[in-house]
Amino acid sequence: MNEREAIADAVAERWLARTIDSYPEAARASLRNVSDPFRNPAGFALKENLKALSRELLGAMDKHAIERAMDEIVRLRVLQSPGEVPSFIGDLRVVVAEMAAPVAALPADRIDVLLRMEAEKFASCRAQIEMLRQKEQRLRAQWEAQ
Amino acid sequence: MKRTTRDVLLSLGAVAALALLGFEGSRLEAGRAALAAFVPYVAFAALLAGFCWRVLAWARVPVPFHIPVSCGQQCSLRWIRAAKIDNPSTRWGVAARMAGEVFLFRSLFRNQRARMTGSRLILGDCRLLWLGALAFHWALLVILLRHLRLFIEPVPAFVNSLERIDGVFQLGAPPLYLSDLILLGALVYWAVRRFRDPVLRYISLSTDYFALFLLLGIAISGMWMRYFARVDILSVKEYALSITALHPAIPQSLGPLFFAHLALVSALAVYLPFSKLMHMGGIFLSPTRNLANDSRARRHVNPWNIPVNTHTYAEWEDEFRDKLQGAGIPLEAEDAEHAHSN
Amino acid sequence: MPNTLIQIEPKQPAGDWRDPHVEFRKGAMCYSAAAKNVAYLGLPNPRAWQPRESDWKLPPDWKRIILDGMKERLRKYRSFRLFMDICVRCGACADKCHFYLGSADTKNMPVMRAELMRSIYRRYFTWTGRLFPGMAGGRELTEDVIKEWFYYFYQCTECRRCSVFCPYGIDTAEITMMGRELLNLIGCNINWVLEPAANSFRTGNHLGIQPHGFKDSIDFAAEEASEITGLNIEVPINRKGAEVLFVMPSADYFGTPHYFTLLGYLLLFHEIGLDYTVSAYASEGGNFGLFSSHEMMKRLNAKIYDEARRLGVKWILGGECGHMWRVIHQFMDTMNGPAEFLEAPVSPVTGTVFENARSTKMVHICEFTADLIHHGKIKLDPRRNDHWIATYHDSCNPARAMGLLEEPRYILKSVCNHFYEMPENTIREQTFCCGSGAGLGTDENLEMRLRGGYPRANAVKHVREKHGVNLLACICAIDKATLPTLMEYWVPGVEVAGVHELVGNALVLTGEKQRTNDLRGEPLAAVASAATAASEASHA
Repeated sequence: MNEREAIADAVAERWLARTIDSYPEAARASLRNVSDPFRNPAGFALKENLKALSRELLGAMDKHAIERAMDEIVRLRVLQSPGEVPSFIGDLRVVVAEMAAPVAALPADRIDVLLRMEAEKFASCRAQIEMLRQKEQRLRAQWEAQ
Repeated sequence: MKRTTRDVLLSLGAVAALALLGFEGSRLEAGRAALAAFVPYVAFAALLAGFCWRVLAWARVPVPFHIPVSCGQQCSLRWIRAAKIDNPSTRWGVAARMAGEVFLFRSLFRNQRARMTGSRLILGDCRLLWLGALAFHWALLVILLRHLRLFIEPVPAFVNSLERIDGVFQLGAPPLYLSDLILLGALVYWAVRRFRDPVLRYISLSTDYFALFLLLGIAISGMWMRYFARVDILSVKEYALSITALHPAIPQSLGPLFFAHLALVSALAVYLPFSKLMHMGGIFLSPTRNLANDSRARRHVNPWNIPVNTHTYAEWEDEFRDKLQGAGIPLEAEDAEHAHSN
Repeated sequence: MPNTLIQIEPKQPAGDWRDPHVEFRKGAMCYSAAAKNVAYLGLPNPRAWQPRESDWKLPPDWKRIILDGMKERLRKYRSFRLFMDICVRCGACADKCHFYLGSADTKNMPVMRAELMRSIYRRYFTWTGRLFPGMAGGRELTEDVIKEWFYYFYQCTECRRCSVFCPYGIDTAEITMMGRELLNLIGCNINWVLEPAANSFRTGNHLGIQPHGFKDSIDFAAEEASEITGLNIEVPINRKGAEVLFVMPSADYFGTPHYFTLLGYLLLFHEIGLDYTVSAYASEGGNFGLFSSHEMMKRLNAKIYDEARRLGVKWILGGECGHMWRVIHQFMDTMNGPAEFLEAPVSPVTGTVFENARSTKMVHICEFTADLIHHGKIKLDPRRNDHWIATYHDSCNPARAMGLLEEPRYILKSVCNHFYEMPENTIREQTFCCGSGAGLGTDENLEMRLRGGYPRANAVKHVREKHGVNLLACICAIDKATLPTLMEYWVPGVEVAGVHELVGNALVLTGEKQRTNDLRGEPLAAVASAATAASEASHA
């Protein structure tokens, strides 16, 4: 692991802590137990993907990698509270501001890119949920028509 | 004040009060007499009566449906190996399963697999829980058996052997008992776990803390008497034999610490039947563990099986007769009159 | 560019779970039962109401009804009484519930779900609770508590996973069943349970399909089976004197992908010449009464034995359905038996006596088929399933109420060349529920279902990434109805199928024509590759 990756992982660690803190207190301990991906899929997914996003943030900003990591996180978060949902990229901005250079020296528009992708991802997941809902409703209507 | 803090302080206070009751109460002649000659009988009677009452209260309630939780493969086709213990289909299997639960805490062991990374063994939190639970219960059993030395004369051979094994490391004088160490360690682990883990803090009631503090109080006072206060064992034995003989005699040399221990033990005896500590009796009656999974092989009878209102075939045929006829599905009665005359 | 959307967290009790306040949010609740269904089934307090309204129009003496109801059940169910008493709050169950893992809602921890009931039990039925409610963990029974019960007891799929890990086997499903029974007493039930129950009571199946509709569906399937094989496959309905009565969940003749499982059954039965009949009256193996009350379960299940008696069959064969088998295996004999008019099941093809079913007289189709395969009684060509890379989802009830684990696997491995297991702690008795069982499989709580199904989906994703799995096989009708949605959201590219669909694919029937497509109409791998080879050769 090179220095940049180490710094990225440090960012990810703080970011994970902040994100977990946004959950209810009694849920946090379970979420933090990230050693088994099957016993704690939500926490594990959060940890792995925040790490991936941090690495991209400090690295190449590869669109595909960001897209994949963003998808895994948002897909679960969009289910947590229908309606307004906390932005976890927002938490990233706070973490970045707290840390020293070279993290703090990152161009601000990188985070803006992530924010935009987060909002788009939320919208597309919500749309998919609606589509799935309508699909099931149609099937049910078919049964009831009999 | 946060709920947990309040609960912890309340329960700690209650235990401290009980210990103090014994400690200070023994300084008064009347208190001493009450604590030594009266309280233990009441406590023991309460324990015995309470325990029986609770178990009977459960046992009196029927088990209407056969609902074991099966783990592992069922016994079905001869060439498929069944999990004879985890998914028992015979009474022996159930006995083995129950033994596995009672002696080895099998279900608690079922949590996350321990993993090796390199040369490190990672135990998930719940395997530690299993270890702690097992350690506590076995250590408690050993300690209880060792206490028989106080109530039986001559001391049975197995108690002597137990003490020899328990003190095998011959550390200190009197020798440090492993069971004492393990008991204390397990209780401390449980307490720390319950305080530190937010999930447990959330779900714990003040009675949970109370039970822990009570047990800790008993363990600490007992160990203090043995290792630090060096209480005179012969006096204790004299007293113990006297109360078993229903002729309480209270040696003067028994100090306040002994009475604190006695008060706490009596409190535990009275508390046990009213608390979750009854799980020791309850587990044997748990329908998800003490039934064989032979539900389709042997009929389980529900003692209060009540008749219910169903939609009979005749009623169904009545309602859909024309549809049935149209579809060419054979009928019992070709028309309504025939149906009612049958 | 706004950098933080306003954080609105669902209101959590300030550290004290005893506060019963819940918020009924879209996507996390089920609609209440329509008055007509409640009335038809003879249940109390039919009326128009919705959980999001503040006034639930409970009967004025609702509190007495609930407490009397609890008292009665504490007298009748040892499980209820015991489980109220012996929880030691060790926390082993806490992170075992799929709803908790997907939602982080602390009251979805099994221990907490039980405490919702236990806190009332302590306050009104125990001495310590009556005298020191605060310290002993008791609380007042208020309307808010009823709402909380409704919210959480209809957020448990009665999968019993928690019970596997509890040192005493405390079964949250039992507690949820009691909770729902109590709520029924004051008219708080959900439509997705009661409507199918009402339909099943009236027409014999959850979908409310009347006899002619049933016949049409069955005939349609028989025709398609005939077309696929070039043989003349017929399915008798209500035929007296058959050896076996076959009962399947209604979704099998009406839903997708269940329908392909049905084709599989028909092909199999035809090949072995099974002397069977289906019934338009007992046209439902499933039993949504299980999700309502013990009494409802018994009412709906009676038709199976009644029909078996009327038709004069020898024993009963049951299709691929999860909760159906919990009822058949653990309740049917007790509730609706004894079935002395039936015989201990014997396979007419192999002569195997199904000892494990000698009292209930009903055999699971996987037990039946595994036995056939083991004795080499049917010819299989697993290459016909080469386009599927399969994994197997143990449905909750066959896994934890029966232990039917190896039979479906044996079948799968005999009909599929590519089969991979999901991680050990997500299968067999530790299997994760689909998140949509026990009457929760409706679209109005889709978000909740997607959350609850996340642990299972996560395990499927793992084998998809590792082995390219593209098929999730299962033996439960609710799974087949809801796993496709779950897969589409979490693990796109994974289809869902019944075990007997794959059997139907691989089955080489005597005298059948060359098969070019699987039961879904998709070209078989061998055919596809042969076609590719042929076209390449012609281009060369």
